[in-house]
Amino acid sequence: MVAALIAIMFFSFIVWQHHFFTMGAGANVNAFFGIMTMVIAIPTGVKIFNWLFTMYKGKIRFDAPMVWFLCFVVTFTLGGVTGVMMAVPAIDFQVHNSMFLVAHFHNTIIGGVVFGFLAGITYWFPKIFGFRLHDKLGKYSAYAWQIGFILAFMPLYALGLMGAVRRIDHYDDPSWQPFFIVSAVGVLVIMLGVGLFILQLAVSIWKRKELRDTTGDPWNGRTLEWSVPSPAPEYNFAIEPEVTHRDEWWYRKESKLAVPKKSSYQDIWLPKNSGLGIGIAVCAGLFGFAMIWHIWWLGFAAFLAVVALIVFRTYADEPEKRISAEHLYHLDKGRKQ
Amino acid sequence: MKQNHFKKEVATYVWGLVAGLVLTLLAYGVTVAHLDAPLTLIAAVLLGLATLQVITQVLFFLHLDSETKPHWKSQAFIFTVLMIIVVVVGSLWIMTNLDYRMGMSGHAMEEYMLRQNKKGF
Amino acid sequence: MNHVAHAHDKHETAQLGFWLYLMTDLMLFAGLFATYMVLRGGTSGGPTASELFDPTFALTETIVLLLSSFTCGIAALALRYKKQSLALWGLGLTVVLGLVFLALEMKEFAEFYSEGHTWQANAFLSSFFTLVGTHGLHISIGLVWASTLLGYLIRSPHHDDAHRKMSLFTLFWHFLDIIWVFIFTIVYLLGVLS
Repeated sequence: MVAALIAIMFFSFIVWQHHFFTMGAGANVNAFFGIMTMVIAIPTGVKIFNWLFTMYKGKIRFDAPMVWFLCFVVTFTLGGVTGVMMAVPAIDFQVHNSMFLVAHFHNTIIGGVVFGFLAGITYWFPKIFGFRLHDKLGKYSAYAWQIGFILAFMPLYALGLMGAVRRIDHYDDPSWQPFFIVSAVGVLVIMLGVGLFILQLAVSIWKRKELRDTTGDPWNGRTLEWSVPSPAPEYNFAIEPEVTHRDEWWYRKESKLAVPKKSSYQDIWLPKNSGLGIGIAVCAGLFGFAMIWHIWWLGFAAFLAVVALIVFRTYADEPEKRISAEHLYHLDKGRKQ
Repeated sequence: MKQNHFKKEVATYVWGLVAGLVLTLLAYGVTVAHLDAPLTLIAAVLLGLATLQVITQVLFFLHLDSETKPHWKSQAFIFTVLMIIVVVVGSLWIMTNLDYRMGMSGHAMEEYMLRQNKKGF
Repeated sequence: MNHVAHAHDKHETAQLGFWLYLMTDLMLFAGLFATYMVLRGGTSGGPTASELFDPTFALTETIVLLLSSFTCGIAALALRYKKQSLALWGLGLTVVLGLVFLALEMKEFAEFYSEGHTWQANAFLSSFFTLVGTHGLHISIGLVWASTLLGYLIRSPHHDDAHRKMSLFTLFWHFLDIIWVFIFTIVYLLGVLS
């Protein structure tokens, strides 16, 4: 799994010319980047089997993050398959700039990024904010997204092969009409999914008292982030964890390791909160905005402000605060029982 | 004792400076000497000298060799150099190839195509 | 964790974080170098690199920057061995040499500009000014940084943070010299040859 990740990371740096197959480069260049793009499908395939075999013979709970994850695997795999098709320069010449491409890259970006992202948000939401998201609404949102996605983008593959290019303002081939209508219906279903997700957020915030995560481990997780309270405290771990097993938290739960002794707690030093970072970021943002729109006075002022704030930061002593071992021990003790 | 350590460490910087100066002057000399050698050879020598100087600076000024385990900095550095080689060499290859094929006038292109046809695709 | 070990830890973390920033900056420069090498021939009838560049002038710049890299390293070393006045002299000299370098570069840019070789003239000059100018911008920021640091060292030379701040600046300054080695070789020397 790790080897596959490293391979994908490396190959992803030598595929960029697959965006420009039709710009007029020679056969050698196109062949090299085409082959590299195809080769990257191999470690990606390994990853997909990783995910499948992780689930195989496991006890799967269909909570909202899991549903999002399944949507991710299905959609992303499909996008990957059409990606290998387009990696052949000869095919790319045919479907370049067509609806086929649009469908392919939404398949990978929505399947690979959006669905994975939403799965992650749903999964770690309690760790960040201290309460879970409403499970049913999350699942409904995932179903709507998945069904809407298939309706919206599958017809585009067909349209692309039929000759529809992207970014058209009209078309005069009536045989394309049914596909576009199905696609439009799909967009409506996706919008329903977006609405359900926003509703899920609103309902979860409304009922945050019922959904509160009191244990810090709402999913019966395996990894160490679930060993700390939710929301995660500013010092993260009261005791720096020593990892001896692959699923350390699971191992600790299974072997019923004793609550740490008082003597194993140590003082933690943390930097105090400071407004300087935000100040520098806002001024730098203003500087960028001013430079883009040629507002010279604002750019000059913002730049001076950034420099002044950074210089000020150098001279200001960085205040730190101490969290005593005593305090940490009592916090943990209060939670573990 | 401490004074000794200090002198030793200063010595590494002096060596770094001397090596830098020698390599710089060497490269300058190669450039202005109007050598009767092919340009690609001189370019390779100059790039070699530059690489050598970077290595001496990384060792004598940045002291990357004395990094303790787990060598995060060295790993990051080697990875970055690898990526830079990929990006720079890749870009040059693509763009010279493109120049070669797209930069030809109509007549040259026609001859090129005829030649390619004779070879058989 | 006691306070001394904590300060050491903070130092290591800051060094690694800054190192990773330098690596990303290296990638930025690699992109500009690739752009320059691709566009080098696009003079659109204007003067070529070999007609424009003076290798002896570039050599002067290179030696000034190399010397400043050396004094900067010595300053950091002196601070580590608690030789405050040597550290101040080293850093002060670094600032002076940096200013000399910047003045030389400004002079070169001004000459090109006055002769009409602006960065809007052709692709070659666009990429030249972007590459060398970005390096000059880094040097300018480094000079502001070094001056600030000089003030800090005069005010609180024995502070825990002094050593850390100094070592980060040293990394930055050495890094800029390494970039310049490639500018000297690829832009100036190879430019004169072609």
